[in-house]
Amino acid sequence: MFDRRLLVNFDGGLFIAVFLVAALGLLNLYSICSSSWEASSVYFYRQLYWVALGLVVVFCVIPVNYITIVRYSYYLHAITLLILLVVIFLGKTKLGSQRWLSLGPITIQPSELAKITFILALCKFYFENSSAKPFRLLELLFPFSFLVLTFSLIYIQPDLGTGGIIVLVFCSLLFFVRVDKKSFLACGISASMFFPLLWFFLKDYQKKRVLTFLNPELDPLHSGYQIIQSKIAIGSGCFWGKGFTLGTQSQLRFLPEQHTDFAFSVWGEEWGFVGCAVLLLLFFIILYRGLGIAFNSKNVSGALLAICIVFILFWQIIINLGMTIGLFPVVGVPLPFFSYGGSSMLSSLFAVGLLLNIGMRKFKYQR
Amino acid sequence: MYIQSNPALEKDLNKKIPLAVTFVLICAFFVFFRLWYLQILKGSVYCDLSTNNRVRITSIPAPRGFIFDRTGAALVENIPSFDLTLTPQDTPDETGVLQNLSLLLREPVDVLTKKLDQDKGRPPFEPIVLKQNLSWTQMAAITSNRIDLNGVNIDVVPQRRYHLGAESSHLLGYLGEIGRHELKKDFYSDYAHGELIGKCGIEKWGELYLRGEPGGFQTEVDALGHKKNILAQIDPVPGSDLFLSIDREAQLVAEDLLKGKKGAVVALDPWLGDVLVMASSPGFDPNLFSRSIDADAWQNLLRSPNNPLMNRALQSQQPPGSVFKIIVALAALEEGLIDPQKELTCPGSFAFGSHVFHCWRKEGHGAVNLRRAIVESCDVYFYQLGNAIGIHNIAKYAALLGLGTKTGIELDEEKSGLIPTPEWKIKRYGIKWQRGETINTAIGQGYVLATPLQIAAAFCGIANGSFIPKPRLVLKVKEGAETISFPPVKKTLLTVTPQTVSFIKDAIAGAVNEPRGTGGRARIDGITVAGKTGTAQVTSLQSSPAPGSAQSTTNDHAWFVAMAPVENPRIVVAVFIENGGHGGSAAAPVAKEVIKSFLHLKLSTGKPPALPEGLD
Repeated sequence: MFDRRLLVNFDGGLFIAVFLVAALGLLNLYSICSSSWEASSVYFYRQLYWVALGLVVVFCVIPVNYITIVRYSYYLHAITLLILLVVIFLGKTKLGSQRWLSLGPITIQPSELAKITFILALCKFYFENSSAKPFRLLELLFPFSFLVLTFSLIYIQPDLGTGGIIVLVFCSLLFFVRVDKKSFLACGISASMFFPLLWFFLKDYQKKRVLTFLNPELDPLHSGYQIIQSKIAIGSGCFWGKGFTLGTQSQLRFLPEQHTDFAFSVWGEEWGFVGCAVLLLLFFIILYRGLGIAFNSKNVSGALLAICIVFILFWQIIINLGMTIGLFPVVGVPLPFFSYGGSSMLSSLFAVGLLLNIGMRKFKYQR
Repeated sequence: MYIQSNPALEKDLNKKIPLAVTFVLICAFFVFFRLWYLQILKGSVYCDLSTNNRVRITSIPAPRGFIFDRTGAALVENIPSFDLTLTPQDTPDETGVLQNLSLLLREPVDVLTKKLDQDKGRPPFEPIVLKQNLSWTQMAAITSNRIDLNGVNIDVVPQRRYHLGAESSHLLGYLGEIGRHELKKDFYSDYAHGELIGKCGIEKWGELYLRGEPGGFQTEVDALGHKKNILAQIDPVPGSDLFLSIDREAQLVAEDLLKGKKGAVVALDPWLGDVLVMASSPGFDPNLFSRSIDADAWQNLLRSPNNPLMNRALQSQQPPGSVFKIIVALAALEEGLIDPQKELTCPGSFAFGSHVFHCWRKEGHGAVNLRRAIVESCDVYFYQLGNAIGIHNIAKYAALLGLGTKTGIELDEEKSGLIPTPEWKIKRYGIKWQRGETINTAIGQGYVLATPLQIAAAFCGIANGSFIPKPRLVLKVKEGAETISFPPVKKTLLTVTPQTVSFIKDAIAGAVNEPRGTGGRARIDGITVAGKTGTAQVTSLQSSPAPGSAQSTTNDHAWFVAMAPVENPRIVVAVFIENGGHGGSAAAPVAKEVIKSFLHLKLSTGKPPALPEGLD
C-alpha cells in the first residue's frame, strides 16, 4: 500500500544539491572537451548518458525499502566479491591497472560497486549484533576480516584509491557503533603500529607519489608536475576565474586525468574562488543533509547506513580536493558527481538513492 | 527483527552525529581557507606563473644501445640528427613562419604544411618535427634568422645507423613509432606516444635492454617560445649494448652472394648453436626506418611480390628436397632396417602401383649402395628405402633432429615447418595417407616443409653427433659495468650411435669431394667440407622442367647444407635459393664462400679450434 508519508519526507534539498553538482561537472567537462586538440566531446556525451542513467537508478532505488536491501546485503556483497575475482582474471587493463570489467559495450569498475555493497553488509552486521553492551575487540574480528578480504581484492585490481576509501569508512564507523573503550584504544594503537608497514604494500609508482608529495622536486616530470600544475591552475583562477572554456593553463591538459581526478583544477581555474566556494557549499549541503537523515532516522540500521554513505562521499571529496590543492599526495580518487567516470557516477548516485530512501522512511516502521 | 530498537545505540548516535557535522564543517573550512590562500592571497603569483613563465616538459630519449658482432665490430650505432621543430602554441603567425622556413630550407611550403597538419590534434605545446636531418647550411640559415621564426627550435636527436646491408635487415630489425595496440600492452606501459621501438628482429627482441631509461627536463620558455632556462632535469640512462654471435665478415660474404637472388643463408656453430651468419634476400634498407618511414616506401615494401619483409632464414617453409635424404638414411641405419652395403639398381625410375617415380638422373645410377646413393643423391634408392622403413620411422627421426618444431631462436617470427604423418593428414584433410606419399617424402618432397634455420640446426646434430643446439643469436648484454651472458643451450639430446653418424659424415664428405658427387662446387683446398645438395621441385614430377632464366618462378628451389671441417666441424651452413635451380650449382658455391670466409679467419691465427668448454 502506498504510504503518503514517503513523498512528504523526500529530501528535495539533498536531491537538488546532487543534481547541481552533476550539472556543474558536465559544464566543466564540456569546457575540457572544447579544447581544439582534444577531439573528444565523446566524454561529454558519455557523461551525460551516465548522469541520466544514474538518475534512473536513484528513482529505482527509492521505492525498494532500504531495509530489504540491507537484509540481502551479504548475498549482494558476495556477488560483488565474485565479480572482483573475475576481473582479476579477465579484466581489461587500463592505465596499467586491471580494474575494469568489460560487459559488451559497457565497461564497469567493480571496485566502485564493492564500495556500496561493503557498507551495506557492514551495516547489517553492526545492526544485527549490537546489544545493550558495547562491542568487544573479539566481536569486531568478523567485520575486520570482512574488510581485509574486500580490501585485498580491490587492492589486487589495483585500485588503491577505492581500497583506501573503504578502510577509512570502516574506521569512521567504529566511532559510531558503540565500541568498548579499551578495545577502541587497542584498535587505535595496533593500527598506528601497523601503518608504517603499509609502505611495503604500496606499488612503486604509489610510493613515488607519496614521496613526491613530501618533496615535489623528486619527480618534477610526473606527479610532482601534476601537483604544481594543479596548484598553478587553481591559484591563477583568482577571485572570479578566467571564465568558461577560457582556462589558459593548457599545461594542465597534459595530465591524463584532467577530466577525472583533476577535474576540480580546471573548475578552479575557470570559475575562480567564487565557483569553488559554490561547489564546496553544495558538497557541504549534501553531507549535511545526509547526516541530518541519519540523525532523524528512528531506525538504527538506517542511521548507520546513512552515516556510512555520508562518510564514503566525504572521504572521496576531501581526498580529491586535498590532492588538487596540494594538501594530499596524488591518489586516484574521483570527485563524486563531478569527475568524469560512469562507474563512479552510478555508484555515487546509487548511494544518494539509498540516502533519500532512508530519509523517506525515517519514521519507525510498523507493519 | 529489523524493527527492534536499541535505545543505547540510538542515544549514542544522537550524541555523535552532531560531532560528525562539526568535523565535516571543520574540514570544509580547511579547504575553504586553502582555496582562499591559493586564489586570493597567492592568486596574482599563480596568475603570473600561468601567463608569463611557461613551464614545459620535454622528454629526452635515452640513446639506444649499440649492437656488436661476436668480435666486437659494430653492426648498429647511433649518429646525431638535427631536427627542426615547431611549437604551435608559440607560433602566432604560422603561415608567415612556414613561408620564412620554406625560403631558408629551399623546400616548398606545402611539404611543411602537410607535416604540420599530420600532427594536428596534439597538445599545442608539444613541438612538431618539421624536418629531420638538417644539413649544416640549413642549420646556419635557421639559427641566424631566429628572430623571424617564433616557436621554431632545432633539436639534436640520436638516429640509428645500420652497418650491414639489406640482406641483414631482417636479422637486426628496424625501429618504428609505437602503435596504438602496442601502447595498450603491459610491456610498453611506460612508453610515450611517438616513441620509437624495435619492430622486428634483434631490435624487437632486445627492446628491454636497448631502450635505456628516457629522461626529461622542465624548461621555462620566454614569450616567443624559445627555451630560457632549465628548471629541472633528469638525465636519460643509455640503453645496454648487445653482442651477437654473428661473424660480420662471413655475414657480409653471404649478403654479397645473395644480392639479386631470393633466398637465405644460415650458418651455425654446431657445438654452441651460435648463429654465425643469418642473411635473407631480398631485404630492405633498415636506415629507411631509422626515424619514421614515409607511407609510400612502406606500402612498396608491403606490396612487393618478393616479400622483402620476410626473414627467409626462419620464415620460409619449403620442401627440403634431397637434403632430407640424410634423415631417411639416419632413420634406416638407426632402426637397423637395411644393410648399407646392399646394392639396389636405379634404372632411372621406380614404379609403385600405377605411379612411376622418376630419378633426377633420367639414365639412372645403376647399382648403388647407401653411401653411393647419398654421394650421387640417387632418388630411386631412397624411394625404395623410404617405402621399406615407412613414414613413421621417417617422421620419428625428423622430429628427433628438430624438424617440425621451432628451433627456439630468440626471434619470435620463427616458423615451425612441417613433418607429415598419417595422423596429421587425417586431421588436416580427413584423407587417408597413401604409401606413394611416403615415397615422395623420402626425397623431401610432398608435404614436408622446413626452414633454412631448422635444416642448419638438424645438421648441427649430425656434425656433433650428440645433440641439437638451440640457436643463439645474443651472446651477452652489457649493462654499464654489468654483463649478462646467455649460455649455450642443448635443445635435444640425440641417441644416435657414433657409427651411424660417422657413416653419414663420410658419405656427405664424399658428396663434396668424390667424382660424381653432387656437391663438388663446395670443395675447398686444405679442408674437408661435407655437404648435401637438395633440389626441391616447384612443378610436379611429371611435367617437364620449365626452361627458365636465372631465377624464374618455376625453377626448382636450390638447397645446400654443409659442415666443415668434417673431422671436427666448426661451422654448419644451410643455403636456400628460391627458384635457384640445382642445389649443387646454385647453393653449394655460396656455402663454400661463407665457410672460407669464416674458417680462414679462424685458421689463420694458427690455433687449431679447441672444443668449447662445458660441452662433451
